Amino acid sequence: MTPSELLKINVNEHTEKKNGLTYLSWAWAWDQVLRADAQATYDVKTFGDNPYMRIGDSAMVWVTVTVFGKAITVQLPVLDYRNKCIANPNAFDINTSIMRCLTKGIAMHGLGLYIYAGEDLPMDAETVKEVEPVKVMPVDQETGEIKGEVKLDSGDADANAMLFADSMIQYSSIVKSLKDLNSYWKANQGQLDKLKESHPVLYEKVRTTFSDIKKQFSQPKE
Amino acid sequence: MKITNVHNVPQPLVTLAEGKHYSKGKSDYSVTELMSPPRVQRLRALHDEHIVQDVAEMLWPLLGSALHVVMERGETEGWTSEERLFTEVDGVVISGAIDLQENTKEGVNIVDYKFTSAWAVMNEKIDWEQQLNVYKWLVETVKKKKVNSLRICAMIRDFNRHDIDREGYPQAPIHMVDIPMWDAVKAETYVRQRLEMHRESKLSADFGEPLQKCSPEERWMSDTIYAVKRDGRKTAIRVFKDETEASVCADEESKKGKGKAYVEIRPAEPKRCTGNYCGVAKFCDQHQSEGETK
Repeated sequence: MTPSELLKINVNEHTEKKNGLTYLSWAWAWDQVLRADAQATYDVKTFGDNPYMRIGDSAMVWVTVTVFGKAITVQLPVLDYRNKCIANPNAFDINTSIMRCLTKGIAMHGLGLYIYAGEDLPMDAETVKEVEPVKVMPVDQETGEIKGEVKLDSGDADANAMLFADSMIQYSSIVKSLKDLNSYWKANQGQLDKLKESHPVLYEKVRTTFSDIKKQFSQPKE
Repeated sequence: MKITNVHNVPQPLVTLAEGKHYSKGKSDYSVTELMSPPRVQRLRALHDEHIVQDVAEMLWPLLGSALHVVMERGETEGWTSEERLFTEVDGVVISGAIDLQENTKEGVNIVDYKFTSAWAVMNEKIDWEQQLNVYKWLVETVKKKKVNSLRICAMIRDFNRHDIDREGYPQAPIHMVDIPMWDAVKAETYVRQRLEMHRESKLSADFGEPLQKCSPEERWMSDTIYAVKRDGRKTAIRVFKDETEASVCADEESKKGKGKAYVEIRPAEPKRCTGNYCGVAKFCDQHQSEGETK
C-alpha cells in the first residue's frame, strides 16, 4: 500500500457520530496503518513528566505519526463532546485526546482525511490514481489563500504551515480568557517564528486574528 | 549587527568579531540569552540590522572568542572542553556551551573562563552563579552525571601586583573563584522563570505592545552617592551612601573653619544603559525617556 492508496480507503463503517462530529476508531485506523507499513510508529510528546502541554487551565496533546519513513506531528486540544476545551482535564480526558490526536495524525498520512475535509466519501480510485504521492498545496504569498484545489499531502511544507496556521486560528476562537490566548501564543512561539520566516502572509493572518481577539478581551465588558 | 572597521584593523579580527564561528546550534535560547534581560534580547532582534559596532571597540569580546579558539588546542585527557549541551523545557530547546569539564570518578567539575576585572572577583557576581548553576543543571539533566564543583577561571585584565596586599585582591593574574552550587529544583525554577520572562517579552514584541522594563539590577544601577565637598576644593572630602551621614559630616567640616562644606548629590546611574553595554540604548524607550544618553 502506498500513501496515495491510504487516501482512497472508505472508513465510513468505522466511524461514529457524536453531536454532529465524526470520530474514526483509532484501533481500526492504526490496524490499517500497520497493514500499509509494518514499520509505522507513533510517539506522544511529553512535557516534563506530562504527556500534554498546559495552556492556562486547558491542555494540548501532541503526537508524531511516522508512516513510510515520514514523520508528521499534529496537535489537538483536550476537548469535550461539545468541542470545547476541558478545564483541568483528568487522565481519562488526556488519554481520549491522545488517541484522537493519533487518529488525526494518521489522517494526515491520508487515511480518513476526507472526514476532516468535511466530505462524506474518499476520492474514488480513478481520481486517486491521478494524485501523485507528493503534491503541493500552493499558498498565495500575497493573500495567504490556498491556490486551487487542496491536495492531500501533509508532508509538504505549505500544507504543514497551513495546518498549523489553521489550528492556531481555530484554537484562538475557543479560548475563554486573554491569559489563555497569550499562553497559547507563547507555547507556539518557536513554530510561529518559523511560520513568520517561511510564510509571512499566513503568519500575519494568524497574528491579526490573535490581535483582534486580544483587543476583544481587553475591552471592558458592558 | 553590522561590524564596521573604521580603524582598518586586520580582516581576520573583523571575521572573528562577526562571530561566524559561533553557533548556538539548533536551540531556541542559549544560556547567556536566557540570562540576559528580555528587553535587551527583543530590542536586539528588532533592530539587528541597525546595530553598528566597530571592531576596534571589541577588544574584550574578541579576546574572549580568541581564548575559546585557543582552548581547543589544549586537549587534555580527563577534560572536556567546549561542549554544548541541549535540553528541552516545555517544548523550548535550551543549550549551553560549557568551557571546561573535568571528569572524575566522583563526578564533573565545571570551569568557565572569564576575562574580567579585579573588582569583579572581589565582589559577588550573581550572574556567574546563575550561569554556572544552569550549566550544572544541564550536565545533571542531559549527561546524568553528578556535578561536584563550579569554578570561574578569572583572567584579570587590570591585575596590579602593587595591590595584592589589599583584602580580597587576587594574588595572581589568573585567579580561581569558587561558585556556590544550587540544587536541581532551584536551577530549573530559575530556568523556567527566565524562559517565561523571555516568552512574555516576545509576546509583547509580536503584538507591538510595550516591552517589560529592565530592572535596576539588569541596568547595573549604581548607588546614589552623597559627596561632602568644600568651596575651593576640587575633590570630595568624603563620600557616603547615606544622606544623613553626609550632612552630619558636612556640618562637622564647616565647623573646622576651612570654609563652608556642603553635600553634593551624585544620582544613581544605570551604567549598562548609559555606557550602552547592552548595544541597544539608542533604541530603548525606557532609557531614552530618562534622557540618559551619553
